Amino acid sequence: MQPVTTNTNIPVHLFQTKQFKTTAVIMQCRAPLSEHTAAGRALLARVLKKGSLRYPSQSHIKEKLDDLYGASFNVDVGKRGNYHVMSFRMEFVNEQFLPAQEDLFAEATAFLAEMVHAPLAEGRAFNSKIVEEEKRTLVQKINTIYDEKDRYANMRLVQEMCSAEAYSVHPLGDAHQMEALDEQKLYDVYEQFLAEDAIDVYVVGDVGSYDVEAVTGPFPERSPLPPVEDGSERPPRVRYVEEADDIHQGKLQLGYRTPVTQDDPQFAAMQVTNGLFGGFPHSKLFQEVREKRSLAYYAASRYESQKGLVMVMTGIEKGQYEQVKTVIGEQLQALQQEAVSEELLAQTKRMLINQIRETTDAPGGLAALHFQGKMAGRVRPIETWIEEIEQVSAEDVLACANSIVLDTVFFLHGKEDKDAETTV
Amino acid sequence: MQKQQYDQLHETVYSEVMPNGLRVYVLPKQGFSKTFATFTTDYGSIDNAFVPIGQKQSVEVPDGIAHFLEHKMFEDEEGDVFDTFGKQGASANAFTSFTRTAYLFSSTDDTAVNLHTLLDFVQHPYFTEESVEKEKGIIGQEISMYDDDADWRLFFQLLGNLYHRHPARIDIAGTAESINRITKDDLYTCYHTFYHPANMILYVAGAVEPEDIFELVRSNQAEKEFAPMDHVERVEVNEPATALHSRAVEKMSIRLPKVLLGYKLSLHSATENLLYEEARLELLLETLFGEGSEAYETLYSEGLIDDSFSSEAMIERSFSLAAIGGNTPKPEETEARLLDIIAHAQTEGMDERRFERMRKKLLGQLVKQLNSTEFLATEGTRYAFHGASVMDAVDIMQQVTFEDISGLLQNEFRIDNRTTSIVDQKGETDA
Repeated sequence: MQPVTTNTNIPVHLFQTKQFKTTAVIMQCRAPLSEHTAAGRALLARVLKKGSLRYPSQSHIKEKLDDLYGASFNVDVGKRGNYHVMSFRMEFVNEQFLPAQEDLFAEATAFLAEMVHAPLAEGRAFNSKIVEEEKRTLVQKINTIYDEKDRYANMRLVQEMCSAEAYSVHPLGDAHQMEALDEQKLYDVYEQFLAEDAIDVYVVGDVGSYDVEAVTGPFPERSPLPPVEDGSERPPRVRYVEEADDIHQGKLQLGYRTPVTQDDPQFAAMQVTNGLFGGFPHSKLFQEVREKRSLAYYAASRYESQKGLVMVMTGIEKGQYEQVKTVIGEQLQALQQEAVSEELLAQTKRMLINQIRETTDAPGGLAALHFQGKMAGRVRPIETWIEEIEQVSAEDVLACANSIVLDTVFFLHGKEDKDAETTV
Repeated sequence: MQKQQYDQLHETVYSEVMPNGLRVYVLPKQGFSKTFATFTTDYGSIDNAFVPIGQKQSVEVPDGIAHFLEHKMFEDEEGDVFDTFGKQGASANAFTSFTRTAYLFSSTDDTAVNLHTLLDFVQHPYFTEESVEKEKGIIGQEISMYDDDADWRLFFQLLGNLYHRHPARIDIAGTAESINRITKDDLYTCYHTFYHPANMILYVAGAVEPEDIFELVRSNQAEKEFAPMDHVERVEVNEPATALHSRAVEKMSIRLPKVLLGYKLSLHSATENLLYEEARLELLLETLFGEGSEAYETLYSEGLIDDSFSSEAMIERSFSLAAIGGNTPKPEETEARLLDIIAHAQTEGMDERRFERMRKKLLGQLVKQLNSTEFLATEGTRYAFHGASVMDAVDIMQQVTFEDISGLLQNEFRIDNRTTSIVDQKGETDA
């Protein structure tokens, strides 16, 4: 399904569909990812979420959302390749499924525009109480990445592997930069966001005709984002990094690079290659590491197509580090040396196509697929994408597998004495 | 085939009971690409003492066996069932909870073939000594993963505090020690008792024609034979109404502590609709502790809680509880403040206008979830095991009164059935 795009200052993409019981409105605002702006934008997202002139406190906001039949409203930041994306999301029930007859679309979009364009600020400064509270929450969030060991290991892998690149920046920024922000500095961040971000708005649901400008609100005219400069450099040899922590299970993560990104003609082939490597239960990693050798509960790979990374993650016993690392290396080698069987190839393609089609069954999924393409500079209609996957050959997979190069290995493991007692 | 129409929600649920007792539900969704199917047994981690089918004496099986069985079902003589689904373009998975084990797949075409695979693999046990041994390594790593998960530890410490002997206190996956004792004969005993069609529900939601599905299931089931069965006899434990311990603290390698306040409730023993009890408990917790409540906003602005703060209502076959908490820099102070909030609401009463807003909010959330075929199949199954329809949830939510939730707060939130679970930072001296 393709959206109808209204190309005014801010493009609005409408997916008109009766498939859902809700309407979703999503505003995607992106800027280049940078260590100088990440903390500020992360804080801005939270401060805008927490108050506006008309809804000055969380109780006012929640009261309004509850009255809109539990409409959800969220603002957050994320990393998509070298972009820092601030997302405003609203989802609310289509009134035809409710006992009440109110124009929820008009009310919900007016609320969204209010939160974006009329924040709780005086002069050129945000409300200092909210700014301080949200700073504290974000510093806590940054510190507690450590508490979830998989997330922590992945953050550390990316920091080590991409240390000289924008991609190493965490979407929440770092705690020191967060501490240095205040209500005035944050207002500068806000003005820069209003003036410079590249913005796409998505509307998904059974909405018929509506007032486009009421949905986006009054953004000033803007010029296109400059291309993101990114010097990815490969180390002369593979980097190995280890860290000890007081934990039971070791977290092993391997970072690979590939020149194939989402705008590349080989993109679909790279997706299939990653699928064969570690994307599914029938993939080499799951079959060899878990099913054949009982070395792990999970072993998978993920393809970061905006940036050109393949990351492998697994949880293992510390003493089996060398063995698991070798087995993982052999799986990639197998894909690089032998043509994959037609059967496995077909199976992987079907799974991928299934995944893409399933994504379209959620309002956010339709919008996300389109936005991914938009960021990569190449929007593919879903049917075209599926066709590209169907045409991938065993030779394409060989070529893609041979473009994948190991860069960094990160291992977070238990301390010495602990290991002895977990080995039964 | 029975047909139940829900006009307000624009949904229709079709159902049929097969001659062998299997209950089948179909919910067609217009415009969807995907079909999501679950095949679920009314059997979970708490069912560890029971009378095996065809026997008189009860047995006790090792902790974690329902989950172990779930893992082993995916293997048969030809190999890996994941692989079969993969070749047919479907993604398969499974999960085990306290009271249910569910096998599921989603696909965007070839639903009929995949549905046969789902029914056939779950109805065909195949365990060998060798494959059972092999699985112990994998599940051992799964247990090890949960041992490092602070939120998981927080919750199971809470259950261990609340329950004297009820098996809800046991981790769903068991322990390294308990799974090591599992044999292939144990697996067959559990399988034949709990995987009888009369103890199971098949739920299909998505891009399907109801009559096609029923016809497929009828012919699939007609080819199989099962011993007759009345009902499963589980050994009931005599669990006191009071909590076992009033608090416990575990130290882990984390930077921000966590606190969880828990109440052991008696709502599961209500003879009326359990889902009604669940709705009123959810409404009470949202009214008192949800975002936008006075309690939430005050504690947040004082820096005692962050947006991990939440409350949970849990009503299962033989136990029920409420849990409230999240991350906090000061677990003891947060605990004390939460207790004050509850005591204050008990003496001064709650805000009825807020209660009405929470009802609207939860209603909206319910309708929103009807977009999801996963939600429809898994919750549809849960409701069906309780003798209700997921579409009734909207009505049930509308029946709850302010007096109901006030009564619940007075009767069930006491001192003797309460506990606190804390996971704290491990300092240098604790290492």
